[in-house]
Amino acid sequence: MEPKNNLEEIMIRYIQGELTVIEAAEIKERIKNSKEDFMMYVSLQEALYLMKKGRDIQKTERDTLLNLVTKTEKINHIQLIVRFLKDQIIISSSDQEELNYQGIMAEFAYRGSKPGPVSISREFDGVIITFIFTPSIDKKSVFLSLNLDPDSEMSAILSINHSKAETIKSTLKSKSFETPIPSPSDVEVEFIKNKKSLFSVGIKFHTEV
Amino acid sequence: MIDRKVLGYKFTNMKFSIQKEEFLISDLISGCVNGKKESWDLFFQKFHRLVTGIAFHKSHDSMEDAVQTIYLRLIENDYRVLKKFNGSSYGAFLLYLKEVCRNVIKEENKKLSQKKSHIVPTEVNTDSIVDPKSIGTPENDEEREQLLEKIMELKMGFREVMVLKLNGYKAREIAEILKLPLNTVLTRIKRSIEKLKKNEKLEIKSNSNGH
Repeated sequence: MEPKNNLEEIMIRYIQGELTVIEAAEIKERIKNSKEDFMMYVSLQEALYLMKKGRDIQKTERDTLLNLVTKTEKINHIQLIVRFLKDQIIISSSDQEELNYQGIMAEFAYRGSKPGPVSISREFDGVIITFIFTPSIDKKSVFLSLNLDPDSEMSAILSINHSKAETIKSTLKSKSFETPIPSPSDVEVEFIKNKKSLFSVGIKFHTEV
Repeated sequence: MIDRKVLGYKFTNMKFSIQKEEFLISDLISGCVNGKKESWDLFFQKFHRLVTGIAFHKSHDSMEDAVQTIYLRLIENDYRVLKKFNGSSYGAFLLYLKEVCRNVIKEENKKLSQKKSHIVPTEVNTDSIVDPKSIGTPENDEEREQLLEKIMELKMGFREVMVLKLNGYKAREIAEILKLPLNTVLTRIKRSIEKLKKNEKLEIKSNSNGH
């Protein structure tokens, strides 16, 4: 028997008069003798008619519907707020489902303490990703590097204040962004695998030295 | 039975061309469920006319609202409806989408009629020449199926007219769908009803209601 999906294509061609006389006769016979095929034929007739009666999408409608149907980022997006204070670091992190922040605070008011790297780890799809923030010598910016456990191949795009700043093409080959991240700034790191956006992390930086 | 060799076709998936790239229906749906804008643009290009056509034809609500309701249904529960499609051809998706749209509109019409506290008929037929009640309006799937069985006994040309009529199309719409003169459609409807009545294989609702 002709595969069902192929039959639908043949039916459309039949309705549109694109089959040869012999082919059309075959289809006609089939429609006549099979209730299932007859109903498919009528249903396709209806669909083609309704398409004819419908209208093409307009730009404003397209924009509205696109906002409606494309996935919002909240499921695959977390937001971090990192505040470097004089002797403290305050980190607030949102949940992946909702932007409810939970914060932690670390105090370093020890004599002789120096600002060092700060790391934040989150798990995405079985991979623990650690974001390592290293303050620059002048303390006016930070550098971001990544650690993946288990080590995985993906690319990471760093955007600063909504402009693409740098791309790590393969996290197997490189894990550090060379671009200094100024403070204050809005940062986003998007992780891509097989041309598909897996998730993104938004980071708000604020330094008070 | 169709013999592929006789037809000589290679009926693989219908492909769409856009910006020098080709998309299969499975790729298109996969892109849509992944929230890809370009996939949705292609979806709009290929299927928005069907969505609006059904919303316009079937909905008792405003067309814009009906269209949005349909798209919301397509994406709810993480694109469940789109993910459920298990076909692989354009034609199969066309039929699937048509049924989804029709069911959404049917449900919305029902809600609307309940809100208004009066019954809005789901299949209004305003044909002036042929009284729609004369073939009966099936109240449920079982009745509809029984009626379809009777209609299937008619000759081909009469059959397709009656199924479309049963699906709520007016005579002039049926004429447009089947590319037939209006008079031919009206004659076929009339003769079909006569035939069905004559064979006493159809319950005539108007009679049972005492009309």
